[in-house]
Amino acid sequence: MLKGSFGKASGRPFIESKIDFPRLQISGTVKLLVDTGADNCILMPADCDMLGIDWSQLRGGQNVFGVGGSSKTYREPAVLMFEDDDNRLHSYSTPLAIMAPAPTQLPQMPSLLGRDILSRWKMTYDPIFEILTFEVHSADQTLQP
Amino acid sequence: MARLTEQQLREIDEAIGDPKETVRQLREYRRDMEFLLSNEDRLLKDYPKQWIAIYDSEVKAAAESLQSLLVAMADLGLPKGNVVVQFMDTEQTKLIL
Repeated sequence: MLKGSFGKASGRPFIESKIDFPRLQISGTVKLLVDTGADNCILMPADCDMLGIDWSQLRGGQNVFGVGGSSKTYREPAVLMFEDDDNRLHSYSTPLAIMAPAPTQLPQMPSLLGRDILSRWKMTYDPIFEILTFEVHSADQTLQP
Repeated sequence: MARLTEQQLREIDEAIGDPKETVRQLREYRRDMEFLLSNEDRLLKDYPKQWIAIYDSEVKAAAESLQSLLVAMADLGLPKGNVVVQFMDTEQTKLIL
């Protein structure tokens, strides 16, 4: 089972993932906001800067839509990895959307874990008892190191 | 669910690399996240409206902008991509995503 956590002040549900971008040869760990309303995972500009992604290397501009209107994103092949409490590593290959920076954005906007991965898990969301767990129904690869 | 291509399978293997090392990085990051969550009230008071970098269960750097924090992290030699970076939002900005 995978375990997430809740922000103490914000109450927002998060889970950590190691993300690898094979073409860019960049990897790092980020916290992702669990968002069942997001069709796909999306990496926000602050996390891109933190990982050291070179914006000039990104491709595939496409608009995505949220409550604030449309935003330009890039698409980059990525592998997302999660560790469960039995020490297994579950990996997912997905084209990750990367939000282009824009002056109107809040810099602290969290990156999102969307339904491209959440739909492959069963989630228990119980903020009263601070339980956020995910049973993995499928993964592209599962390893027991 | 679409079957993965050979290239995607190869990319997963390469992304994982040494699985023990990947697990170690995830656990270190989670430990630093736990430090952030269990000290959030104090950190909000100590670093209001600042970006902070947590590594080895310590605040290693703080700055008023993310770019300044990234420079400070580089000066300290912190491993890029394995540091918990957080904006201490004292206004508790509401997000509708």
